[in-house]
Amino acid sequence: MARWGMVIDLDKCTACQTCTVACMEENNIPFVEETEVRRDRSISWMKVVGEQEGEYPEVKMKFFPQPCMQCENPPCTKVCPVYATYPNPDGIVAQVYWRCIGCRFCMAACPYTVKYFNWYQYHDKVPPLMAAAENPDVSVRTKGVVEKCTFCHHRLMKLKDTARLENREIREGEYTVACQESCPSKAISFGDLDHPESEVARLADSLRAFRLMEELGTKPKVIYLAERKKNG
Amino acid sequence: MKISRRTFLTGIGGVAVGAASLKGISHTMAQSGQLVEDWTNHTEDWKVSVCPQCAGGCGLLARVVDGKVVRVHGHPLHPVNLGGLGPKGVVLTETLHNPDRLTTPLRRKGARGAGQWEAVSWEEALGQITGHLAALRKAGKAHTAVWLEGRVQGLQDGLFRRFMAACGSANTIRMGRTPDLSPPGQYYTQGITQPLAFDLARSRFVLSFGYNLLEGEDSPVFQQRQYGEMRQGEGNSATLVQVESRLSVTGAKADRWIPILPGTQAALALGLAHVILREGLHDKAFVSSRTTGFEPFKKMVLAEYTPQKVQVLTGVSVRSIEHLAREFVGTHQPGERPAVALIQTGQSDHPREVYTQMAVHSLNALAGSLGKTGGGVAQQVLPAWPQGPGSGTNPPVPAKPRADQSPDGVTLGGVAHLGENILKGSPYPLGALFLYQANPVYGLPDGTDWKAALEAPDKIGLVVSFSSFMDETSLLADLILPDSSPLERWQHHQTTHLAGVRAVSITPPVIPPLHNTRQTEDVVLHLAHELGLQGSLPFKDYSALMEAHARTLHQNGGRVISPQGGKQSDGFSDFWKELQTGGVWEAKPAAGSLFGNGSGKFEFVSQTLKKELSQRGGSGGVERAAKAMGIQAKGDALLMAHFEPTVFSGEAGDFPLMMNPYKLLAHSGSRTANSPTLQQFQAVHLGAKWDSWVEINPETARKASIQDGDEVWVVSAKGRLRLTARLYAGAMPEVVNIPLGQGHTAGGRWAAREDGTIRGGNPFEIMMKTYDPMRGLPATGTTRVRLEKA
Repeated sequence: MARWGMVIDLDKCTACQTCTVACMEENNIPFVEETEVRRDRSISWMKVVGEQEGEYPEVKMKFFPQPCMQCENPPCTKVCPVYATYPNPDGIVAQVYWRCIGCRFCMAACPYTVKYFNWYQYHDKVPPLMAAAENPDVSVRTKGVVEKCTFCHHRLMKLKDTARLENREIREGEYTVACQESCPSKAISFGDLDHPESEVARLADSLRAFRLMEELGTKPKVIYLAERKKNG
Repeated sequence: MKISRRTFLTGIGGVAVGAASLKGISHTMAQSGQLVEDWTNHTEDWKVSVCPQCAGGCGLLARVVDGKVVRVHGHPLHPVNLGGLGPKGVVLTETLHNPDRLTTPLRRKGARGAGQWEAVSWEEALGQITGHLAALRKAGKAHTAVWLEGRVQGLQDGLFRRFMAACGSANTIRMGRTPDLSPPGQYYTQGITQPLAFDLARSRFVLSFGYNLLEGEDSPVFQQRQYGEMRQGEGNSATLVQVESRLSVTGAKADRWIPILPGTQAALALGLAHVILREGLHDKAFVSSRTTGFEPFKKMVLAEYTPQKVQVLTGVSVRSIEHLAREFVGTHQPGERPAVALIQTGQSDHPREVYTQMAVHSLNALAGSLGKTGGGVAQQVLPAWPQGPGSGTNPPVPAKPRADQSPDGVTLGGVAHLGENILKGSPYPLGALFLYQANPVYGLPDGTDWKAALEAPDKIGLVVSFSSFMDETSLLADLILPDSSPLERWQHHQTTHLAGVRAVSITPPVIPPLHNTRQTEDVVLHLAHELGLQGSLPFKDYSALMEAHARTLHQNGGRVISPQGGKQSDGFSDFWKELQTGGVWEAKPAAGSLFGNGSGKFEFVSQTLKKELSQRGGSGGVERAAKAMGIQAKGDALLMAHFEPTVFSGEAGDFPLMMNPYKLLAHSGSRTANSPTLQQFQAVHLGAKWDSWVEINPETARKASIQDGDEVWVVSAKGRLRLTARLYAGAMPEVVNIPLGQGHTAGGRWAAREDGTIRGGNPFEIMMKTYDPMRGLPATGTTRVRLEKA
């Protein structure tokens, strides 16, 4: 059984946000308009966060791409009263939109703040021509439900079917996700953390590897590689 | 990702069912039969294309389901991007389906700018243009027509230029610099017109003078990949030092950021040269065998650019200068990788920036980094137009005064002069103005001149815009002939920036046009035929031109890059078929030549510049030209890299701050303004979304009692802008930074607000009208401003 995980090399990340935008296009995430964005209601399953440190001229800036951490011990699923968010058999923290009652307990429980609420029927704002060209593999969400990164689970579902029809296993490197695929600097790797030859397994063993808020015991399957020391 | 996939959704209907049923709402039993039919009969196709959003030329793979483009992915085998993309490329599907696209040719009703339009047929619109151009030609006024182009790539510029020349006009003018030509530093020292390629993944030290490695320049996607290699490639760890007035993302990701006062980069580069020469650290073998003019250059640098003096000019400390110079030049041990110095190549920030570019590039000669792997590599020149019979004769450029000539006739003409010339009716009123993806009313510092010239009834005979959106300039046109979206067009792109590799992308349309639009290249070829210009342009449409160019490439050899590993097709028809599915062709590797000047050497004293200045100066020679261009140096010095002080517009007492307009990667200006997705993800460093701001150093803000998020006026001698104040520790105390791209009054529902209010401000509106007399481009970094609380 594969343990799907992601490694993000912060040394290579250039904060270009292609991952954010590719994720939106892949997963039919609606844009949120100006007035709603001012209320902090934008949705981006993969967001790049910037952090400034120090003062001029000794200022440093750090960038973190942040998808759902896909915890092996997820705090969010434990508080869901209706089993709408749950660890699915592929080890991915899934979100069943039609079960979700919009209580947002999971958003409160998530220490990484990577779950997003649909305050409106945002899709009603998408002009018809744009809406008609959405990704047919991914459902759109309604008002009042929570959504989040699914590791492009629809791609895994398709692959499983293809592999079954061809009577074989999913090959290493075959399952890709939108953010990783589009990253221009190749900062994002994705694959089976348990596969002995996978790139993610090799990178996860790196001395630079760390997980966000590991001390909480959430066991994230998104692993970061620290920036190396600069030649200051 | 495979390059093509068979239609497979039928086999796995379950997935599609799951998706479609969630999207739909409840339905009756009678509808169910039809729905099952819809769910199970899907076709999926993967088609190649090229991204035209910047100069980079990333290969695209578009996923087309049931005839609709649902996603664009990076082409996994394309040598520019290897599957990666930039945010502007990903949103091409959004642009394609944008509800504000112009869907049919429009003709103005009433006065210019009245905003009343009627839809006309293509035949009618083209008939009007043909008639107008034919009449101009007959009256001997064909030379008064102007073609103004924004972003163009591949064969587009060649086509438009040929068309205008064949019509009888020399006026094919670009809005900015030409990315397929070498930047001035390389041109004046080495005499090459083909840009050098820098193989940064193999460099030891990259010294960047505002070179926007991660957010701009030739190909941000390719450069970002190089950056990834520089950081974590096999056994590599190049040092990147960023010298710039505003801490950009590149500066943040660099090993070191060195803030420098605007307009003084040349002084720093020469200060570094001073230390290198004083300590004898330069590559003596390279300097003695491959350069000329070294002695006078050395003498000048040692006399004029002591670190102490440079510190005063630039604000960079003596210690920093000395350390940097030694680090840059390295030890010249065998096997040591080269260091390169790069400089921004976009617009001219300051007048006479040519010298700054030469100064920075001279560091590459001193370090002996030219012609080496990991340094600046010369590239082979590929035929930029079909060769042989059937490709038409190249029409001579008519020897008539140009519409963009400078008023004094000595300094360089260019887009910076065009607006004012038209407004003055000098040297002639325009017979016709064609705007291809150009929005001068919004995107130039003399936008108000442009607006006045377009609104005047007698300055321009006919204004035709090929825009896809109703932008600020198209609003003032007589005719709008909407260009098809990139995914609906034939696309052509030639790489200029891959070290050792030259690739050409040629791709057919992904889908037929969704609306009643046409590819402008087809329109131009149609006009050429109607006007009887087949002698120069014998191609019936752009696809025929593409095929002819492919034929020329085929004769070069090389290979089409394809998932099978690429093969050399013998017959042209196989080659052509393969190219249209693979999308990109790679030339046979061949060395380019490092020098294109008479001496065949790197010229510290530029003979190319001397020739050019003496030509411009006419009877008065070099001195007259130098005087007209405001060059302060005299004698040999004016042919060498040196520091020319920038004159800023506005008194320092009234306007204590310097304004630095800059471009964001995701939301860079005109073409991306109407993307709601890019609006939502403008910039990471301030978490900016749908915003327009001015970056202020926290200490500067504190003194002016301005807090983060306050509304402020940024005031110049020309006007004022209301913006959100953002405190940014990456801003120098003397400089405020304003991103380009907002302040639109037209261009669609997301570019401009639907309620008529304007989102933020466009820095061009308060930018002084100064230009670079050596390039003919606007100089965008010379305006002084002050802040006032709103």
